[in-house]
Amino acid sequence: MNRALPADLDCIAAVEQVTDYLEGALPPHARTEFEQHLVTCPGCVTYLRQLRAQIAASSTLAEQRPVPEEVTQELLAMFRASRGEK
Amino acid sequence: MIAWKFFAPGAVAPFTGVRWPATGWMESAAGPDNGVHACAVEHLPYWFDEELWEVELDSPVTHGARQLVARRGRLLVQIDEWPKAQAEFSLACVDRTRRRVEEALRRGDRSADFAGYLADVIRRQPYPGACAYIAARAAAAADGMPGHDQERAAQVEWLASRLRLAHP
Amino acid sequence: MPAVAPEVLALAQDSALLEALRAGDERAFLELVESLHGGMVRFARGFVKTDTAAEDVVQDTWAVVLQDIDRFEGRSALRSWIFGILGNLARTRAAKDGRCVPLSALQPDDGESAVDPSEFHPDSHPRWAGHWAKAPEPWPEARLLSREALAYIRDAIERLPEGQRAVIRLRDVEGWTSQEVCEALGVSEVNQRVLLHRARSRVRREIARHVERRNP
Repeated sequence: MNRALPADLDCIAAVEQVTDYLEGALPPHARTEFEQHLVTCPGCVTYLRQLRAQIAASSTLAEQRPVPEEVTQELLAMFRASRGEK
Repeated sequence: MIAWKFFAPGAVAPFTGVRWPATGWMESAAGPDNGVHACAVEHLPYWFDEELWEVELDSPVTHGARQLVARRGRLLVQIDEWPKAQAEFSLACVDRTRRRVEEALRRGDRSADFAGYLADVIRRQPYPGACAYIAARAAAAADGMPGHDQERAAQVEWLASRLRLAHP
Repeated sequence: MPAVAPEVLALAQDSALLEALRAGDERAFLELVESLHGGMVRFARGFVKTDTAAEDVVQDTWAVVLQDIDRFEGRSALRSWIFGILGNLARTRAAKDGRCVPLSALQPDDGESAVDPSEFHPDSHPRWAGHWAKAPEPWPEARLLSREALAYIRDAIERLPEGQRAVIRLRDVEGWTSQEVCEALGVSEVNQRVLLHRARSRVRREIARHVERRNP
């Protein structure tokens, strides 16, 4: 492997940094290196896009489950009792 | 200070996704790690994207790792010849790589694997960022750091000349 | 760009809500229950064996919340506090029901790589060691939102190890901030990020497997 260049990121390193990048947790120099790697690498650009699509899809899984009526009644009773104890 | 910046379509900053205003300053968020980023001519081959704009950066300007950073910047004029010229740019990277491969094989001091860089760069057309990178890696493999620097300088020269960018 | 950080805004909304709850405002309480219930049951279900056990644990959590609400100092977000209680109760219940749930599940173990190493060129490659051997193909985004694909994602999340599952559920499914998740699970920012990274990587592999199977 060629050592003539200052160490630039390879794809193995880049994919391990993706979460830190998305979280804004990469320090500025590392963030720049990561972004420069993306400019050279359509594969990693696709990888990042896939992750973003996955995260967006995951967010649709949070269905608002309605609270069963008997549970509501139980909780309300609990609430009244707890406030009544004051 | 006059500089250049690559954008996603619509003058959208490629990594933050923030659209720069057509007129007026683009201010960066507060904080030491924030700023607007742009390129001096010699930084351009590291940052390719769809649109290229001439921009103005407000002082003070910091020279960072292959980029310029300022508190705020503004769009001046779009360089119309980009991305029209990106296929030509990539082809020029192929040409220089081909010459390097031929020379190295003629010298006899590189293995046949080295010729693979030519296939790699041909295959990566028209992505200018990938082609520029492969050409630079090939140059480094042939002639070490001086080779790398020479290739990157040739890329800068090509862009400055073809796109008529003011180049000190 | 919001003028106020989301965490600060949430705490301000919390303090109005807390006041209402302490004053016995039933509507405020029911709204809180409504907004959290689904997420709480999902979260508990990640620890315990059955839906019934999850519902029990959620009820128990509300009992503790109501008991301690006057003493809650508001140093963390309200829902982080509630989910913290929920997590502890769920783990206790799981242990009682015979599910071995070590606390160390929230400590990421080492060495799991995000992508199968075989997808990259090995060190022996003359030019591109460490780079993609075969670059990933873009996923058709509409496909990802199909009922089938969503089922794969849900399934993949459910099969994650406990710590990874808890974090990805709260972050990517429920949309919590990283600070809220750290407070609820009692983990550091760094650990939370590692768990999230591992979880997302595993889920991605599942999706890739299915998407690529359809488009060989």
